Amino acid sequence: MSSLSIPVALERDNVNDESVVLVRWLADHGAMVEADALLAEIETSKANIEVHSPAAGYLNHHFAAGEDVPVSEPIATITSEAPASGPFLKKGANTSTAAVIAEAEDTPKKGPSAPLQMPSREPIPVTAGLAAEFTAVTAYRQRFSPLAVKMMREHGLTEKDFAGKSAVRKQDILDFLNPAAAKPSPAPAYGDAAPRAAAAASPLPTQPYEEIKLSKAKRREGMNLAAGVSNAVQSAVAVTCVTTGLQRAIAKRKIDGNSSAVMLYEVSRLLRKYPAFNSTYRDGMRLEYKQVNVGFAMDDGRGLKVAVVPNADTLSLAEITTQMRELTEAYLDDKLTTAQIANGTFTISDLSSMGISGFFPLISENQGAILGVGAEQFIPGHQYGWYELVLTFDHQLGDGRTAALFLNDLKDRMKAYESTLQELQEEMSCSRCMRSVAELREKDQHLLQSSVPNQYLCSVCLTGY
Amino acid sequence: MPALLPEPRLLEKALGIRMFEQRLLKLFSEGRLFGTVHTCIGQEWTGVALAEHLTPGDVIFSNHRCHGHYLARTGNYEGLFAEIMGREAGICRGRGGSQHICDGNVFSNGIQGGIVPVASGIAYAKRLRGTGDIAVVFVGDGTLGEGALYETLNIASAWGIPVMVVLENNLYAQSTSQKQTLSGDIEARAQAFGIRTLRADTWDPLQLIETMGQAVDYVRSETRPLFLRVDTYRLMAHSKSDDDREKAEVESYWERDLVHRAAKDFPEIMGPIEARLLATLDAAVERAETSPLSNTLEQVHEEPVASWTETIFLGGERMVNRIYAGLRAALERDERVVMLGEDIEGPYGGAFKATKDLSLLFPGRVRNTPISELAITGITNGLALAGMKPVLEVMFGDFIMLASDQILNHAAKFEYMYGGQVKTPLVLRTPMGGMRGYGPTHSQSLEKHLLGIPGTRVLALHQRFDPATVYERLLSDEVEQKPTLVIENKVLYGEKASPDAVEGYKWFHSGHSFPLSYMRSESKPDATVVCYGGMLPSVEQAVDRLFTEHDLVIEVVCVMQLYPLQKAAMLPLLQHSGRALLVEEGHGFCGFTAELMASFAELDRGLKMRRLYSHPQHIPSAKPLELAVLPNVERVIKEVLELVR
Repeated sequence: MSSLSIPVALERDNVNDESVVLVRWLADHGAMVEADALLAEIETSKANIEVHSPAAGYLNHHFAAGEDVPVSEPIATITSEAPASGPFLKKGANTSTAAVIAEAEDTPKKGPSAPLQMPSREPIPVTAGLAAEFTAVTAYRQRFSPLAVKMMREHGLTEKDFAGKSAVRKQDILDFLNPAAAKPSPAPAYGDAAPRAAAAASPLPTQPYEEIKLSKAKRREGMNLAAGVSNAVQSAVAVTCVTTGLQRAIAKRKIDGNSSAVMLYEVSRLLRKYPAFNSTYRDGMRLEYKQVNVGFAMDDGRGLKVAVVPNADTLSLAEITTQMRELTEAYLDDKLTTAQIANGTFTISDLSSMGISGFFPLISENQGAILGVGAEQFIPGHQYGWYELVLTFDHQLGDGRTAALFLNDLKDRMKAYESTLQELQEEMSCSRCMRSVAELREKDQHLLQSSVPNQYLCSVCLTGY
Repeated sequence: MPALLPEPRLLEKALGIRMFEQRLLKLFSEGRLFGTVHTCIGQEWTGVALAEHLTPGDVIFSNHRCHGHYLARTGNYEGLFAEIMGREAGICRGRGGSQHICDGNVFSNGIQGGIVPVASGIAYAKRLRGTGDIAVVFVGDGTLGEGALYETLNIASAWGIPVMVVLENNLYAQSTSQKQTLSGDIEARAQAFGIRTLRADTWDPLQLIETMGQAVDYVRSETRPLFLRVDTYRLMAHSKSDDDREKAEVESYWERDLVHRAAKDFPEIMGPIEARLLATLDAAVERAETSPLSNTLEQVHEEPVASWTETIFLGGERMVNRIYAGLRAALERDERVVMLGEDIEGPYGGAFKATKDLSLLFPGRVRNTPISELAITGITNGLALAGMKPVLEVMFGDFIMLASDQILNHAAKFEYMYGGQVKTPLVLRTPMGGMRGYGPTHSQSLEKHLLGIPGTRVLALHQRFDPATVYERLLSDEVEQKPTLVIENKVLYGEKASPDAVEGYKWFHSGHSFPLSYMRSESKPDATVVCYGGMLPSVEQAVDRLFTEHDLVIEVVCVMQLYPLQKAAMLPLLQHSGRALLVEEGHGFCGFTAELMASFAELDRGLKMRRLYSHPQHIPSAKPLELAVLPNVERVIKEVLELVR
């Protein structure tokens, strides 16, 4: 009675995902399905994905809708015979908790129930669990690391709180303060220890609350930001840009693209000049990215997504505009691919459409800076208004002065879009003697751009009479 | 031609050996047996003469040319045929073959020289037990080049060991003539040690038998060694086709050979004997070939660990005193326990004072030896083979390579190659390790060179499991009886043996006969350090500092049994933290930690591992430099931080 059984496996679309959420079944357990039929919808941290049947046959669910599914596990099998009884036959004991443990345990199984994989013919007995085996006859002498003592003092904890722990260090205090995070204890995470460390959490609130599980995407977003935050020493500078209406001016100039595209275009050029903000920090080194891949954040209420324009510094404004439009459309259609959101080296978060005047953007994982763009503010009846540009940067990579130069550069560049060249020149003046272009023209002198300081100087101030 | 012909019974023995070996050559040419055979055609009478005088308890230890010695004593054609043909019915189950036999108190081994101390050890055991039995060891003139022979002659004479060395002087070592390699006088060598010598030859068998009788009587009655030179000639090649001797020379010896001439001159006597032997040999070959070819692979099973127990023993005494206590308890409990070693007798009591006054408390059972590591290890081997429980102290582990032939080619192999008929439970104690400023040849950790030899066991003592318990167990009948090397790290002699753990930790030990020790914390560890022997004090200090200075909980697995490895029991301990630092004092290349790392990687690729071992150079005497060469506390800390980073 050997029946054919084909697993319905998930494609590992994203190396960061150890598990996905099975959103809903689109074919019932036990149903006869055709090859390539739509079976289920799953949610990864990046996108929702449809799962199709690898063959024709009877569908045998392994997980219930809403469960976390380890990426390595098939979500179902297609069999040549109808399943005998209800669903989850194979995975009867595999509750969502079990799946989470499997996720936390990392690839090499470590634990009492894990059978040893033996390459040789020598039979190696399976040892019982560690915890059960080591019952001490005499008491341990409890001991606290200096760091632990300090933290205990801060949190008002006593030695009794750590009964059953003989050597108490920082991690044990953190586990005590946040028991939920401590169980199951995460397997040693090599390489991505940062996000877990950042999860060091505070005690549970005493007010009544209801537990709402965060969506996969939200959790992924949180991990990404936490990773960025924990890796960076964040600092921010802001500049207020006086404007006569940037968006209107750009529209009037009939150039390809809106203010967001212009901003991305100019930022991508400036990042070549300020590589410190197109970098990330690792172990005492600045890893300077060879590409300028600028991401822009979008959120229309369905969740924050940062779509990336790769090699933006090599693209024309028209090309950038086209790419941004395509990315935005993909976002609106829920069709952003992993490739379209991966490998950003810098991010722009533009909240101008929300009427936000200023905010503190957070650096993303593996990046060194993020630009926040606030909305234009006008006092009714006045010609001039203003908007804020905020640069959050990793102080390990750059400094406040460089950040200020970057923002002023950007401000100037944006300003240029608001004026015609003529208008621009008329408004400019020597930064030292304050004579305007018109005055200088009368004396047969002219205005020069100086790089240090990054301003305009007249030929008089520059060379002397 | 002598005046008297030996009686037909003896002629039949000698001719039987010759026809047996001629049959072997025939079987070899027919592809019906394995390896090579060394025939003794022309030399048969030594074995025949000796067999006339031995009592059943006497032991013969022979060499690569051993068929005649064995057959003369046992007449077991069929068993030897089967053995050489690699059959299960062979006297050693087809494992030993032509050169390695063990049956009816006849042993042989294919190593020149090394068998002399082993035979002497057997004879010494006979003397200690007062059985009146003797041992006879056969050497060739080629063996006169081996130092083991002279080391042993010295001891045999000094101690009055009832061993008879029979030198079959056939003038050639394989194809090399004695004229090219031998100086001085053969008997004078033995005489220089105060050993009586006798001389005979195989061309006058009746005279040979008589001389052999005198020799055996002397050894037995005087409990003294004796050296008997028997001039003889090998009429066939050393092995098969490797014969470059002058044809005329070989032919001249055929003419002197009694068996050959008797066949010509007395066909009426020899004819029926030959016919009878032919039928016997035909039947023996036929029966031998019905037995299946030897086909059993050795199965090595790791001793299962049933439980872990908190380590509790009365601590506070120095390690060297606990070693003494264990040895003393064993001497008190079992008369078979004897101890040999350089400078071990009281009041000196060993270079590191482990045997103190034992020689005074147990007279005759704890003996000083000459500085002859090879011979004393061989004698220890023989004692073990003869059913004693000998303990040998080699003063410094650095000298143990001098004895490596006895460990590798004798002790380790006896049980296996003799078809499981014998056990060799010798215990070889030796200090290893540096940090004492003793310099390049007295500070090494050489155990890695002796790890992994099948049939042996290597232990390393440490201060967290009572050494007295280790020696009591090792010298009891409760554990598997096999050759055991025990490493006593020098720096540990002065350490206090106690189950005290680093604060916040506790020592547990496994249920193995020679347990793993595990310093466990109740908190989940950040990493695990695996070490053994003299590295443990440094590792413990590092663990203490890693906790206070770096907020890390590090567990320790201290291995006592370095070989065979208890890897299945160790693995879950390492998986508990997922990260392991493997530490050894000796060189890392092909070292213990290299083996550990490979073994664990085979079992679990997810383990993160690093190694720490000696800087790859010789150990200097200048102590600050020595401490920099060897792993130390600072380096353990540095490596652990790298591991958990």
